[in-house]
Amino acid sequence: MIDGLSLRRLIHWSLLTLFAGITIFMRILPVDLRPGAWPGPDLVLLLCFAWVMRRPDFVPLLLAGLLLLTADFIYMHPPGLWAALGVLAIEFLRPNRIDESETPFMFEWFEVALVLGFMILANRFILGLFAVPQHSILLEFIFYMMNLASYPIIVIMSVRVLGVRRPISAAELRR
Amino acid sequence: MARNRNSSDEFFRPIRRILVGVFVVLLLGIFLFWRIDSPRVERLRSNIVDTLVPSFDWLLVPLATVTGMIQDFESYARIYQQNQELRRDLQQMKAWKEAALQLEQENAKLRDLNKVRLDPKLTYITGVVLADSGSPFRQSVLLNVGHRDGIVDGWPTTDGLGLVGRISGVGENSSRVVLLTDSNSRIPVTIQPSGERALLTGNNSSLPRLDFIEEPENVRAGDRVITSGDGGVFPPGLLVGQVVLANDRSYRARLSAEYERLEFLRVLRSPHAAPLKDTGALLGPPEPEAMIEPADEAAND
Repeated sequence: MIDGLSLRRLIHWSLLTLFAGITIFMRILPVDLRPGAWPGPDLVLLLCFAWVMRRPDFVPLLLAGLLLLTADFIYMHPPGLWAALGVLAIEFLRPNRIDESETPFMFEWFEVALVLGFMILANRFILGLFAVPQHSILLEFIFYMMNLASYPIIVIMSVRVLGVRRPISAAELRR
Repeated sequence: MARNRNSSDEFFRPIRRILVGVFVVLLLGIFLFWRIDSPRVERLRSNIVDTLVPSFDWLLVPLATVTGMIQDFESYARIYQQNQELRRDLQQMKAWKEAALQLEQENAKLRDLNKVRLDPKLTYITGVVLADSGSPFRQSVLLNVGHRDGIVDGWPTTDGLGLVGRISGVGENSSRVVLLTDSNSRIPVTIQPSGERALLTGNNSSLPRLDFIEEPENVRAGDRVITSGDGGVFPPGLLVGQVVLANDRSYRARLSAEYERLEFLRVLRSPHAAPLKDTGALLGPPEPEAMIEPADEAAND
């Protein structure tokens, strides 16, 4: 029935949902309503990226897509576009084989930077294609930098605090 | 912890790819649907936000207060001085309150004398600000009043000091106010005392622009900006702010409403607003029905 593995999976799915809920909640707090604030990082997306490369079963596709879609609706963004790009990015980063050795963090960071850059460019392209009014490219660049800067923190929090680590393959065990 | 899923992986991967593709197409379909039929999807958005956000208002309001207190922490160092300043301000405000009460009584007497009646339709509904829009690109707030309190799309919203925005998106228990600073906000205004008409255009900064002023020489910094009632968008005479001259020599409006501290907003029941009923179909020329009747009469003669 519910063995140790499925319980861990359920716990991490609930953690993901809870984290998304808390992030959305904190962002919509009406503290200072003056405009001109810098865009904060998309923490839910970064958390999905960090988890999917270590324990892909902790990030079910439907849950991640629904969380990103809900965030789109609440944040007054064009609904569905960022969620679709996020789902594609998560699937791209999902490892196919489990016995990949531990890659250095720099490569992982670089890969996430590339994927995020493509997401932002595709977002701007599609919005431009459909003649949706957009923000200045400077703000998007600040958003990109904030995301890249927060990614190591998210990874440290996931690995140390939440224990989301890459499973050791049989080859490594034998060594 | 070792796991051997290689064999099952090979089997499920094509199916997984198809599922991913279907899901992505569904999400992009939502985006296309939003682009094509925006009012319907915006109504869906209002309903989703209405279901999710107001149920947390028991947490949102106190948490916003606490966060506000933490943000003001720097001023705690001079708390005694602030206290003295606030006491002095309070005395001044009491004097102003007395003067305002006397003026109100005098106003009522004069109106009574001239048999002038105020528009009874400009009553208001008070709402509490629940949430922000969450995005630095969209300036809007969520109020805790909705359909069940009688809120209608398009009504103006003030905070007692000045105009704050306009209702756009009403759910059962909540409604969204698009602020004047949002880049989509366009309000026709009049600049007193010259009477110049202008368009208050939000541009995501705290000083929205005043566009299309006919005679800029008649406008000076410090003039009052009030709504003009043009086009039936807003009722006329609502205070918006003051004219300021920006660094790039363009006229901006410094809004009277306190945007740093929006807590209680008044939604004015305005009969002027026209509700958005359809998706905005193409307006064609009127049908030539009038030409059929004379032909009938000619035939009947």
